[in-house]
Amino acid sequence: MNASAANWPALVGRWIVEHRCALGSVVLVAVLWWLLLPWKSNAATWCEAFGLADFYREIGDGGIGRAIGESLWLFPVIEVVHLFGLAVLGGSVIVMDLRLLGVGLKNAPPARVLANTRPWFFVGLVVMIATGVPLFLSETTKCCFNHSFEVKITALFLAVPYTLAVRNRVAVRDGVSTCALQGAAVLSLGLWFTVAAAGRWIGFSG
Amino acid sequence: MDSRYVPSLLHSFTQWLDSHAWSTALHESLWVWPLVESTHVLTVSLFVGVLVMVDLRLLGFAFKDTPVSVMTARVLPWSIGGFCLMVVTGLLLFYANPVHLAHNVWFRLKVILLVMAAVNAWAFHRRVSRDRARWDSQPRPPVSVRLVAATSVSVWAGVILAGRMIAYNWFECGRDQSAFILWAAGCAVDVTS
Repeated sequence: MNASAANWPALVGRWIVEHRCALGSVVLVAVLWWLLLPWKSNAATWCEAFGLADFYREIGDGGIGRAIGESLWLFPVIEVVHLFGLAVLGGSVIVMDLRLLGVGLKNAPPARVLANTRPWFFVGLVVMIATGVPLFLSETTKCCFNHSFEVKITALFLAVPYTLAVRNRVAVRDGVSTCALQGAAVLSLGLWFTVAAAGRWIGFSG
Repeated sequence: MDSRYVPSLLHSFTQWLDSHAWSTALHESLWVWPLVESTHVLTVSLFVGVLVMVDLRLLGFAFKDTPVSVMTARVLPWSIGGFCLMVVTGLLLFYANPVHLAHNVWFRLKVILLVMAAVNAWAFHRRVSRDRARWDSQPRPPVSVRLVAATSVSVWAGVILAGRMIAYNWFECGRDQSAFILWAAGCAVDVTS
């Protein structure tokens, strides 16, 4: 038996200490999910609570929403483009966050990885919004009472400013600790995962 | 034997799969099937998304300052990890509903596109990359490399398209279909009517 294999408890311990901030952030995101999701799935949606159902129905009655609702092909085709956007947005977020976690392109400075992924983040985001809004307009009433939609939109409204104002700034700043970079990356992955997962779940819930 | 489908080896095989209690259990599961399906969809961002980043490097649109060999060594493995998750969840989804999927034109198109993607990946790694040392650090690799990358992006986009459309029953056997769809989906043609 070689020395490193015999020493595995120490190696695992050191790995945990080295990644304490990433692991801590994973626990934080998991606890937030565990606390928020059951609470959200029991309470009324904000749309419902604030009496916005009529307003949602009205914006869905516009030309775009009706055209998509009446067409056989339009909704699936827009949804496919929405998935293309998911690939580009997700890919750019993942490659950047992997770098911040110290894997993937770990030998390149974070600022250089960001400079290369950021344009594609915006491409993905624009495609997502340009297709997501029409998808929403085609089923506004369903979305009003849909908890997954609410979770998705809430996470999205957190994820975009967080990515632009916090993660991307942390990534390019000099002298930021490894700990902070790891935490920033896990929070980013957690938020975007919530957007995507809750987005998919809209279709499963009512 | 369901008379909507042409009897064949594939049909017998999928019928045998369909007869498994676990297949039915997965298909009818309230939570497991949606979780497997969601994992399959979300993994698009890990598998295709990260692959697109590598393809954008090969096309000369991103990471121009990073050698191709660094992208394939440090970024591509994450995409391959995503692909493995895709295969596992994809096989489970097929197992849940094999007869229906085997006679779904979109599913059949997806399988053809997957074969095309495999051939393209083989061409990149075994053929086009032979003289990689020559263009490894070029911001814009040669046209053969860019062609393979463009093919990769297009074919995987096609896989996403075909995969999403599987959910729609427009071309299902048992509905009024054209001769082409009846042939492409392997539907049985009722000769008595």
